[in-house]
Amino acid sequence: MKLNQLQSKFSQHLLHQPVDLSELDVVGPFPVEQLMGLYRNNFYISLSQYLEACFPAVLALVGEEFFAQLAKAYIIQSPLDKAELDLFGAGFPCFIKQAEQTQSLAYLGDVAVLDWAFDNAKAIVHIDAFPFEKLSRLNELQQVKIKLQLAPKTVLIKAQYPLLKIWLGAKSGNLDGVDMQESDFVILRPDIEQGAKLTSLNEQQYQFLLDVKDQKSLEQLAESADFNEHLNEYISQNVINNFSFEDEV
Amino acid sequence: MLSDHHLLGAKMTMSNASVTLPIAESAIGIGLRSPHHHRVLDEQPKVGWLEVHSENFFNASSSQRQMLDQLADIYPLSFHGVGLSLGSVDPVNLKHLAKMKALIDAYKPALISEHLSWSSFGDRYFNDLLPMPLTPESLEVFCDKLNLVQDYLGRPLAIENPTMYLAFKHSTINEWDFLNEIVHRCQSTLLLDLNNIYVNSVNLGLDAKCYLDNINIDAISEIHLAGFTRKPLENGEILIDTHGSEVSEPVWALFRYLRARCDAPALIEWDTDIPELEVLLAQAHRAEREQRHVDRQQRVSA
Repeated sequence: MKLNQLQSKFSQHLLHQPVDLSELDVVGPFPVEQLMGLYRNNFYISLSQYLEACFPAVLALVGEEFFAQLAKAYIIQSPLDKAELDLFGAGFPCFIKQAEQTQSLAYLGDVAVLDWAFDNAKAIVHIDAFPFEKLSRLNELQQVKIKLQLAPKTVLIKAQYPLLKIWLGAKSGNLDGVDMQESDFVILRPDIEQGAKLTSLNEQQYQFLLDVKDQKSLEQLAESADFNEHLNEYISQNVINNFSFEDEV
Repeated sequence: MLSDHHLLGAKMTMSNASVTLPIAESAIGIGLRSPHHHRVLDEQPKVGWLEVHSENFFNASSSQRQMLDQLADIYPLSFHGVGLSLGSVDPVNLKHLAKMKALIDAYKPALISEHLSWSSFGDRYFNDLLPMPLTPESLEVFCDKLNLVQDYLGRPLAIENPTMYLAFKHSTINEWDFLNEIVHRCQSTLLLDLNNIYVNSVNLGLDAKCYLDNINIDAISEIHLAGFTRKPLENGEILIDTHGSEVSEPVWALFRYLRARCDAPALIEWDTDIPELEVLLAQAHRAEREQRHVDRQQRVSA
């Protein structure tokens, strides 16, 4: 058998596509189905373990068995297309939100979003401070046209359930007293010391940061309630740490 | 036939190697995995060298790379790749290779290695080291890709012998002959994993000592020592190369047998169920004791 055919059939088997294994002409201590099963098993275990490490709160909420089922379905639907694993989990939150088996767990997809964002934020090793000096080079008319930017890897989520309490409870193993009727507005932002900081926001704070994320100009943002307070708070925390100006775009 | 360009690449290695921390003859190292990063950096345990998985350090702005920057000043480094898929009929993934070159150029590690295996087909990746049939066609595919990679990187790779849970009936070449031929055709070196040889000897009925008697000893630039797991099946038992336990006694015996003829640096490799750092260091000390034992025996016989 040519190498191309062999690797094609082997790959199909790993991805659960129908293959006549006898054509592989394999020898070993057990029947071919068992031996090929070892390889398929190793393949799913290695990727499942990677997903478990990236999504610890999801794992804690659904348990190992259910997580393994979800991971396997995801691996089959979204086969790995790079040698490096580091971005393989990016589509898992979206997969969870759409998966049939998780429809009764409406919060699970957003918990996965927080897990993934938390894992990603840990990679940030430097967060720039807001460039006041660059801003001072613009005149007043130009300054009101600027568009503020959130620090890279910042995530905002509006949830119909107490997302942050669920996420923290899952990680600590204590979900007692969580009122599922509460709604939540959550921000996750990178933090050099802690990896990431997660905070619940009130609706005004959330809307302000969402407007920043949606690239409203400073002039438009200034119309929101408590504008100065929000601006000072989020610039001092480096949540807002840059801006763009159309002339330079 | 090697091109002048390829020979130039091999020569470049000699000069590059002098600017990095070299690995001493017979030095014992440990595989560095993320649970131990901070302790190794803080405590700087006395080991001969560290090996890391190349792919985990591709991101130049990651905290992992900051840590590696500091470790590179303290320890000789070896970069062990798992993603080049040299045995696949797919062309070399040039994006992956470029990332590897950037990493290697940044640190100039004492050793770089990859596997006699494949892990991709049709742009799908399997995050595993899959078995190759040992045929003239496979040899040609593997050597063509390895030569291309070595030319691009400007230095030779050490190729690791694989664990295989099965063999292919149409294989016509012994694994040691296959590896020796790779060395001959590509001017590469060998990373000999003694646990892999032992696991294959039990699972597939191979003769481990015969393997060590026939492999090109002079080409070995690195030795791996690791543990396996016994997996019970309904109709028997198979050894799985998990790198998740202490080195087994039969593998220590193979190490003593090889050490009598080979001074290549050796590494304790532990990838799953990673224990406390002390356990890993104790295994490294055991390796040192084993080679002292071999030295004593050789002096007595002399």
